[in-house]
Amino acid sequence: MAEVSRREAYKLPRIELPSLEGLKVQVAGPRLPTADELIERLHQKLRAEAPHRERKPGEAICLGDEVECDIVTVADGRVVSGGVRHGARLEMREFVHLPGFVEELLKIPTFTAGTFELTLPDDYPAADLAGRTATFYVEVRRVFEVAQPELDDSAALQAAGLGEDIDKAMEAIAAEIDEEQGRELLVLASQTVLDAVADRVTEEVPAAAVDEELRQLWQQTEALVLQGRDFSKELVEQSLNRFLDDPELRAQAAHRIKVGLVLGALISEQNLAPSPEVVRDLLETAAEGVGVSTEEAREAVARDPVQAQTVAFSGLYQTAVEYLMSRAEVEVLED
Amino acid sequence: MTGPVPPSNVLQAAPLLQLQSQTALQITNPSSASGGEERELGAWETFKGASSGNAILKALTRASSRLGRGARGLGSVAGLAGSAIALPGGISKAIGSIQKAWESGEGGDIARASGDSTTALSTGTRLVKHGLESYSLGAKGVAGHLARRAGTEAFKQAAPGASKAVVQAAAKTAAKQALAEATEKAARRGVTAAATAAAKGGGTLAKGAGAVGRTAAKKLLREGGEAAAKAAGKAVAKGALKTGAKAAGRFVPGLNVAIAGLDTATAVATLADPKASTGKKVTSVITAAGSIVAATNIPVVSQVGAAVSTVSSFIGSFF
Repeated sequence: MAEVSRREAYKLPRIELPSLEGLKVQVAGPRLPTADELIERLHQKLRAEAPHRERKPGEAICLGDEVECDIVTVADGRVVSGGVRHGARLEMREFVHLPGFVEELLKIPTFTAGTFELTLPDDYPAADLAGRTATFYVEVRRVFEVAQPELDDSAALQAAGLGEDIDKAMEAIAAEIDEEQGRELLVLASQTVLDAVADRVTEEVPAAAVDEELRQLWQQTEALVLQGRDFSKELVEQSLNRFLDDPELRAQAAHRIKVGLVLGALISEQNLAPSPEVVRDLLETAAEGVGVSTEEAREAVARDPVQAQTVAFSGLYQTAVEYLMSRAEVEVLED
Repeated sequence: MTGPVPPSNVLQAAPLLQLQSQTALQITNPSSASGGEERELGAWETFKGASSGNAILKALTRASSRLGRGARGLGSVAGLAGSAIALPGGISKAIGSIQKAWESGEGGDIARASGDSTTALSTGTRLVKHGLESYSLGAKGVAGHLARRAGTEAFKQAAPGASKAVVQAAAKTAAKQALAEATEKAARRGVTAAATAAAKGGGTLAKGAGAVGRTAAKKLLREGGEAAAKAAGKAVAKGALKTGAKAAGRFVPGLNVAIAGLDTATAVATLADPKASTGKKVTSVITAAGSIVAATNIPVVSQVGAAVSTVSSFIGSFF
């Protein structure tokens, strides 16, 4: 395994909670979904419930399949930002921005790996890569053949829990999106309030702390693909350095750390502790996702002090976020 | 199923359309497809991913546990996601190829990325300029995809020895006609009309207990105070899964790097890992959700000493 570099000791500043006076933010209100978005969602929901068959090692991939793969993208001798993916799940239909990608991927049999080149189109969204040649290494790990039904197939709609006809299905999807947008608006408001308080922090975040934050994220993502295989140490190191030097990622990481400092100061100054309801809600939500009862989740977490501490931290931070939200004024901007 | 009908001219659309309908039958009627109705429920449930929130993840992880047991005996490749098991055959050659591509480029000297053209434009800016809209297919796109799929496959069956360029040209011609038909068919069947009506309505069906729609969320925020704060807290706790699904579905190198997306991708990988403990899975969901507000999933850097001592004072009462 390649060694990762640029690790330095750092000390985070101790801060006092910034003033919460006049904590007022604006957030953009959600827009109604378009008909196309509803149709796309329907396509995905039917796809998830459609008949399927896992392809065997060596079997050819076909259009319409669902593929899980690891990907490494290189262009101009550099590992491309966002081009390294671990466990990416891709539907084998035309990729709007990567013409030819699916066709090339179809040539790699199930549970094997391959490398191919593509010339990125002139209107590629990342302007610096437009018209350039990119090389893709793809490890195809699992493939499913999917029998995608017609969008108005009554039996398929019912199997997906969308009612017996297309009208009811679309209404159900619109309601689902409405609920998601409501939740997203509340999350956006929370993010914006945290941003506003973090912006009031005057202390600088040490560069080494930002490095460490990003190094850990890299370890959990790109490193999963690049380490432990035959990629050269230099390529792996470049991937890490690109991650550490991305100005946008550094800004996001520094901001996260500032938010953490704010919440730490708030918790300390106000002696906050999560209520039993907050921790129970967290466990309930997670238990549903994992497929166990809330009690089973609690017991599993209780057996591992590290996990228990993480859940307790999450409850504590949620309590702190709620504290800030209750003192903020949020204006929702409409179009 | 009858055998494929060879087209009289590789660029003639009609025979391809005929084949396309046969291929479509194979796709929409699984019993006619090779492999029959072999339904590896566990594998698929594990795989299909977080497309609609908790319910999917629930199935995903449950199946993942079953899979770890069943896959070994069957020789299935399922259950290997997230593991470090190397693939057989050709992997070294494939890695060698991309390593060569990397070495032959101008950036192969491990140049620090600062100031490099690859990072000069911030990823955040790119995300703003290129929203999710470009990934939505809609009626026309879905129909077009199906048409192209059917056209290409049909032609490959009819002329297996044809070059890639010929196949593409033939499929494109077939798809052009099929697209018009498919779009018309979707409209005739009321798919587009239903979507348009539902989009205008915005989702008026009654929702489950505790669910908050657009209008209710706006009202809560307008009123502010404890109720809004509690609702926001709950929304944050459940907020990660949809983002995770989006991250899994998109792949545009050079475009989509955002920390929150990386966090949720990690959570999805943990959930799909049959070796991860239940406790780890539970915490991965919780921390990924919290990281949507950029707060909780920072185990080393931001969990400051004061918070550590606070946690130790109450942790015993919960566990």
